[in-house]
Amino acid sequence: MCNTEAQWIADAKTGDKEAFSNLVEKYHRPVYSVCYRMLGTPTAAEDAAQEAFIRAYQALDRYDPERSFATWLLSIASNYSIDQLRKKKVTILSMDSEKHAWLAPPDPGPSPEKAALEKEKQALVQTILAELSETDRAAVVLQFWHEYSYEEIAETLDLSTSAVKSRLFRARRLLAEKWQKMQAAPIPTVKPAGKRIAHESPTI
Amino acid sequence: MNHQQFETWILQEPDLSKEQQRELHLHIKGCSQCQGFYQAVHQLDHLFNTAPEPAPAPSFSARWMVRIQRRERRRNRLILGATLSGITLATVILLSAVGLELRSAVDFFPQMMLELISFIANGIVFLNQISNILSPLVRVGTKYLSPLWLYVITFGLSGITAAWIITALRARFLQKELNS
Repeated sequence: MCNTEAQWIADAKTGDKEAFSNLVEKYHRPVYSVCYRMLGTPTAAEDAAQEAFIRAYQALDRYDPERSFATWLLSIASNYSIDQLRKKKVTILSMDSEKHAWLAPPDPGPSPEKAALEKEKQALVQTILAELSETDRAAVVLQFWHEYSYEEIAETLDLSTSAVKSRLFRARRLLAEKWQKMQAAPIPTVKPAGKRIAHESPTI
Repeated sequence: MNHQQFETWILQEPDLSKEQQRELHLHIKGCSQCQGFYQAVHQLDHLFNTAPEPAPAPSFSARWMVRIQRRERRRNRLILGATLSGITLATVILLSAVGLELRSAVDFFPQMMLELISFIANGIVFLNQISNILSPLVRVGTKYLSPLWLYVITFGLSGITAAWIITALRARFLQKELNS
């Protein structure tokens, strides 16, 4: 941890919100990423990430400076996301939801084709991750996208290292099997344009 | 060796020995089931590694600041509300208790009120007499004495009074000790 970060933490502990907002600025991308991978929608991810930072700010007195701040923060974010999934059983929605267009990650980039491809890829990842239980999903997210070691995942999710290993093994097997099934019979993640569902009124 | 063992090896490929890796690849070449699983694992890894990192909308930390401030205002309002409710409740309980006590004394109420009025009236008369005695002195004092002297006299009198009270209390305490 750099000195500046330690200083921000020390200042934030005294109630300095400005100091903590520097930490928010530094870590908002990984925290958002974890929440997004866990919850699957930009709105839920934004809400969870914001809440995770609020919880971290309020629990700053309990933060052990010996521990990595990023690990501590991501453990709050992933545990909050797990709680949200358990409470609400958030369903993984399609990334093409126009409702959340203002929040929709990722940055569209230069070409619309590339943006569409990335959106599709993102939706595919979320569809596959939705197959996993909350804890397994958190373990997979932390390992794949945040390169956490088994020990770090164990610390973050309050599990033993052997439990993490077996969960990750089981999760990867399940994901591979799901992927094989999807390859055999692709699941449409986007409602086909032009086709209308029976309960919808016909096009005038 | 069965398919399940090879599937386990596929998932643990980086940790396998050279010999195990050679055996695995030899098996995959001749087994379509394990080949499919092997491809699925690798395609998934590729998908996860190449999926773009989700990013929040700009001004995330500004939105966080607004949110925490709103949260703290709500918390402060709650604390204030709880405090006021507590005080109100305590007052209601106290008044009810006093009311119950007074109910037993309702027969003596007119007499108690008369006593109270008489006590207040006597107090007012006493204070008035004191004021009549002291006001000319104060008037003369403020007219002929500088503010500094007024402060000196005020603090001096206060000090003498305090010393007198402390001495009286100590004397009483010593008296009690001697008696015991």
